[in-house]
Amino acid sequence: MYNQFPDARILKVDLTKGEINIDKLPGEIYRLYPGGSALGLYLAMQDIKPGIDPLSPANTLVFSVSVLTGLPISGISRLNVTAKSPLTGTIGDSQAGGFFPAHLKGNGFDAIVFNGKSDKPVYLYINGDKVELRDARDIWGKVTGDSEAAIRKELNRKDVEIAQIGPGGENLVKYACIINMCNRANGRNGMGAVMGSKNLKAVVVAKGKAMKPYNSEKFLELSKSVKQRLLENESVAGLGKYGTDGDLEGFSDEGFLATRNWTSGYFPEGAQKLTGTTMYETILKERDTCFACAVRCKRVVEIPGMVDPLYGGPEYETVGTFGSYCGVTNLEYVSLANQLCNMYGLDTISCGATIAFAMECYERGVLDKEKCDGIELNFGNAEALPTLVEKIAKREGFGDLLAEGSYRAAEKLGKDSINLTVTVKKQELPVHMPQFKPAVGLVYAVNPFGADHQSSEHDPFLVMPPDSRERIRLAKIGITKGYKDNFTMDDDKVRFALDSQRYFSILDTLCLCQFVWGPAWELYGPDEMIDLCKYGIGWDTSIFELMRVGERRINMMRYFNAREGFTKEDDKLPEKIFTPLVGGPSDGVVLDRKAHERAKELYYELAGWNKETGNPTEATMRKLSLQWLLEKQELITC
Amino acid sequence: MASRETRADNVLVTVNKKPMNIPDKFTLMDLLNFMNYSKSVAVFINGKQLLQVEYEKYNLKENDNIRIIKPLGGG
Repeated sequence: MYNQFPDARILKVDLTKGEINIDKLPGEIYRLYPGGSALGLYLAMQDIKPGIDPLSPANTLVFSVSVLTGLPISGISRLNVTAKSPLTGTIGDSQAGGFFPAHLKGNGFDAIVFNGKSDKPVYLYINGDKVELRDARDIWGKVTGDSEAAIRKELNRKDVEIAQIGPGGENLVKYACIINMCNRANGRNGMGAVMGSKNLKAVVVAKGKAMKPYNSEKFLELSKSVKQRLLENESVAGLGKYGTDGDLEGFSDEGFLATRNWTSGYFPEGAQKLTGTTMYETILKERDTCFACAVRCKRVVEIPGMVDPLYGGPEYETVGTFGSYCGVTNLEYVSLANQLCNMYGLDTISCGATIAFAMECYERGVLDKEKCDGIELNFGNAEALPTLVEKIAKREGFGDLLAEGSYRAAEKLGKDSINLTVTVKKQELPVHMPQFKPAVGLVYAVNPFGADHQSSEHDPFLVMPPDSRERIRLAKIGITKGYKDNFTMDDDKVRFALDSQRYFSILDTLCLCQFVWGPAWELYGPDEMIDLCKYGIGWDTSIFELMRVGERRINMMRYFNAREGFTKEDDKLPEKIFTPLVGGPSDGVVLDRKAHERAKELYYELAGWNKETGNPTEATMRKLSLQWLLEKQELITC
Repeated sequence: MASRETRADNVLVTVNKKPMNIPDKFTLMDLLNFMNYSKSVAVFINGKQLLQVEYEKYNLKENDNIRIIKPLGGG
């Protein structure tokens, strides 16, 4: 039965003029960009001109949810934020969970577009169609927990959700993030700094209603099946119990837990102390959840007198960057660093990785105690972590240099310190090693907004047997070849990287949690994603249409970057990945440079990108209904 | 599941490059349970990958060379 695709309701906020308008995006266009990252891009690319300063009023900041957000089912409440990134200079893109996304939709909006800059700090308050900019001068400078309390008091309501920046965003730290619930982060790409540059302290939404499914009976079957799925899916059940940090020790045992700024993959002195089971047995207070989600993977830790459960608990990436990257074995200090990042609004990955970079500079004599404000910045110095996080957020002393991120800090430090950075497009690498996962490494290199571990499926699932849940699902998107180990990088692996990247691109467009919805090990696979669209909103779609949606988003991003002058020359993994690891089972291991370079060339061809520039060809743009971007004539040749 | 307490460990196998004594008639699933692995792992025995459906049926034999791989994903 034909059901018309819904229109999107867009809130447009001109911060310079203080004007607010509600716009409509017709369903036939919304279907091409059905939410989240794709919708954010579509809206941002109407306004952002090539070459703008990302921290100027000329940048456009978009908060977006999807056509599905608000349906009562697990893994459905994700907020996407899009703008030009001050960290990478590319398109910026970041996701977070919580209740804010569902309530934004519950108030009737699919996206908010912010343009310009307010002349004083403000926050946006959305209560149905009553939308207003409110004075935020009294909360500017406050950490997230204090701001939340102040806003709730001022509005005299407890049932509001708040996405906000902390002092890190106000001080334009290049990797400042946006925090909701005081512990969920749109972490990457410095979206918090863009908010700060606009004098926008927070976006506040009143509690909204969940969306009524199109086919309630069938939808209920899908949502209720989560209980059985959790019983049958040890991977997701384990994720719920031990959190994302559950496998940290396993990575070290294999020799692929990035350690001491990626000089080693082996951290026997710290892995057991930092891993998720230890967290579970020691400092875990409870497990928190997002809107309508049964997985409850979010950590809440408590260390009396040291760490407040309000600020959640560290995820795997945070434990990795502040722990093994820095050679720190103390989970308490890692948790404190996590709390401070959530209070001040900093991305834990870039923050921890930048400190690890500084530690290696110190160990190698590029930095000394005087330059580090008197801190002995050796690997393993746990007490330095909270001190440095605060200095970075406030841009105090040595912290001002680190607030620029490791790549820009290295450019200033000189002395070949650039070779000690571990970045792609100036964004620090997450805690998954390309030496162990070459397809992930390929996506790290070509991904439009810098290295990202949640942009494709990871190599190890291709080692599972053909009758496993993982392989059966992957076969549905055409990935049929299995492997005996992780390390092979052949043609089929390239296709796996590309196609699974497109699949994850759907997830970031439909704003679905990648632990619940995915192409392999997750609770719901490709078939159920189609059912979700069909029974949720009456969208009779197919995996073909959705893969095109995912492909369209990636190409829009790549086109955005091409306008900024990015080419395949920027798709480079750092030299550390090709430098032999030291110690443990991975001693001497490097990523095969030749295989990696060959894989990139094949990737460009499979993606329909120009082999010389690495950017989308005109035909590819037209295939994806993106001719409107070509017509803007902001890029002379693809 | 077979219990190690009630059987003599008299079958020598290699698990992830380490020697291990297991009881007679120990299935692969018994071994996985004993080692606190779930079924969500890849298993190669003497270089050949087993299907998951075989995990409960496969009786481990003397000198079996077992490689168990737990997939370490993202997050």
